[in-house]
Amino acid sequence: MSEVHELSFLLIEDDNAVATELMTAFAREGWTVVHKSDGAEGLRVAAQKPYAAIVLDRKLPSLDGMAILEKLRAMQVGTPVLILSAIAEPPERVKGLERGADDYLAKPFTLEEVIARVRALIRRARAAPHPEVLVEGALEMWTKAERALYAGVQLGLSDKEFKLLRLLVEHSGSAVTRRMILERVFNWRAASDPGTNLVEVHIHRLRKKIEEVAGRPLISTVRGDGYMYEQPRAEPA
Amino acid sequence: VLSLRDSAVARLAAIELAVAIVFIGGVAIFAGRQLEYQDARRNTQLVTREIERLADTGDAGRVRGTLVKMREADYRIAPDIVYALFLNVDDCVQRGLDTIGRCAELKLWTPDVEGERLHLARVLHRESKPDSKPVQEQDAVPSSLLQPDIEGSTGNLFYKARPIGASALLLVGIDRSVVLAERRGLQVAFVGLALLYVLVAMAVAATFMMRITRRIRAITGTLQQVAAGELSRRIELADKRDEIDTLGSYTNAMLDRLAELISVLQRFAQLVEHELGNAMARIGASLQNMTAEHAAPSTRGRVEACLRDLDEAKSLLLAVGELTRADTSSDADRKTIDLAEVATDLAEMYSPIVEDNGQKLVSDIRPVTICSRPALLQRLIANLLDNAIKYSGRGATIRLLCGTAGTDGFLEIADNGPGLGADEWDRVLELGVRGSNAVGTAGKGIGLYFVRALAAKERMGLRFEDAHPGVRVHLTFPAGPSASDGSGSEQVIP
Repeated sequence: MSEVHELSFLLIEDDNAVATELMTAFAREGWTVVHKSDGAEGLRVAAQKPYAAIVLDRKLPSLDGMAILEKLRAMQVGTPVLILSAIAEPPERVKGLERGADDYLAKPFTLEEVIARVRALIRRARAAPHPEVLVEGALEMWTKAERALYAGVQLGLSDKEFKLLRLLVEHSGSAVTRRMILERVFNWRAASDPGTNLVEVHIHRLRKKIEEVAGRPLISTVRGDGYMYEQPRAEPA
Repeated sequence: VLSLRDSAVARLAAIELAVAIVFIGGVAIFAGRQLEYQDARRNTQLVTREIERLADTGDAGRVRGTLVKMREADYRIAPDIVYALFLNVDDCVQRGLDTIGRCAELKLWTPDVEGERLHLARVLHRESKPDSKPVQEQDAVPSSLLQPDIEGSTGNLFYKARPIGASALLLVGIDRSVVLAERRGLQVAFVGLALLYVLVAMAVAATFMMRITRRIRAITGTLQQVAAGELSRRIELADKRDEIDTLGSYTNAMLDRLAELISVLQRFAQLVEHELGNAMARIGASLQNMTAEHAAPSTRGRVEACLRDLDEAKSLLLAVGELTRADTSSDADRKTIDLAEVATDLAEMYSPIVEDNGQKLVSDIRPVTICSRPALLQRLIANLLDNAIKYSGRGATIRLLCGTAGTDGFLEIADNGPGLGADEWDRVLELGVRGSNAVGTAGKGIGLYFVRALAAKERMGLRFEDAHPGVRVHLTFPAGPSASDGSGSEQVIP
């Protein structure tokens, strides 16, 4: 988690109550947050300095969030942007991503989800493109062959289980929310989540398979709404 | 009654009117001529009686003088009456002049001034010499004509010859063929006009109906699109300012009003969704920060309970938003979708739940491309699968099939659980209504209403069937942009 400490973020949000709560949560993570409630002012500040990420509302006074995004991208400002909006329709999300956003989160949200997504943005910005092997302690994930080995033993995962574990490993040490899992593993596009405890069941099965080989599940539940791949402790020599 | 502002129809109608006017004019002329003829006939009878009285005196000169006067005075004689006066029959014959015959032209016959040459428009019988053999024609004037007081007829010619003195002869005849020919001509003309009238009337009616039908079809097509949810469609007006255009413009005005009301409702729903979303975000973030900052377990427990309730409310808010969008989203959101891919993803997503429930998911998914809204379609299939898993009971087999039937795509989800009574199939599609098999389980009665709303919006066929046992939900999709080869594989999970 330390790798994203001491980072500076820009929050462009006109709802001061939401902004205050987000800033409190960000401060708890040790992050510095610059808050702007006006669109034009937000654009000016965003273009001035390279922030680790920008959290951007859509409906803003003086300049709309989408317009800010377009202008930033036109100015070659590549700062990762998370759109945070009450406009939840799937076509609007697609529109946001097409215009250059890196992620889109609909309101109402949980703080854990915002934090998790911001972390994911930073990690993605830093990550080498398409690593062939992900290594996390004793775990090796061969991305092209879609094979996962723990201490050299194959885990025997299904296609979806592999994708799920890969997502967790890519965000190792950070929480991955239910919504992120639904979107990235199951291509879930609808605004509301499926009714049943689908993610929990999949996580449960994955944990069992890992536990059979590793002796422990390695995936913990994050209070609120997420899961995290735990950094395995160093094996005794 | 529709106004005739359609140019082609108006032209045809004008022709129809002209034919009718000609027909009526013809009838009027015919009637006038008949009256004139009757009048002339009455006049002729009086004249004939007078000439015959003169002939009885034996003075051919007086007869001739009277006939000449009649001609000069343009005395009204029926056109089919023939007077012929032969002052010297022998001379007439010797000169080889025309004898009495049937006239084609209707005019008053009179000898010329010299009394030697007769004006005969057409002579059917001729004798060049007194001893020559008469031409054998059926309607030839018999030689007995030259004998006094002979009456007879030949063809349509009725005649009466009366000697005047020793050598002169007065012939009075009536040539019916002239009148009959005129009548026949009129009859042909009337029948022709009547046929033309009928033909033009049929052409007018056919053109009129064709154009009206075409315009009504266009209106029906537009209204069908509107009924399918494309509220921006409007009836194209023909700019004829007729009753169909009036109907179209009023319908368009009604649709404008409807669209405006829906737009207001949509904006209101969006505003509510937006504001509630923001408010819930504030409450949620605040509660989450409180739990992070206040370590007291009792407070944390209560705050977490509030957060769970908030989560419920959030799900409901998003579901209501989706429902509104399913009813009102535009066609621009539709995309070409591989239905098999969506079905496979969902089958994989639900398979662990099926397994945990001790159920079996059998899928037979074949390639099929359709056009739909990806997120809404995914939600629709997930709702149906979720229902089948929830209500079919432990140990049930759930079948998920998709592929093509003819040119259309289809998707079918069936289970062998307790099912639904046929009387419930329509009812469970209503908002807030839940099936009898859902008693005691959590739910809001939104899922199947959403399925119905989206199926209607996407012009999908949706029907429930008895699976003996269980229930089968069958969806058909209008043909997509590309057909599949139908190959696929059957999988059984677990």
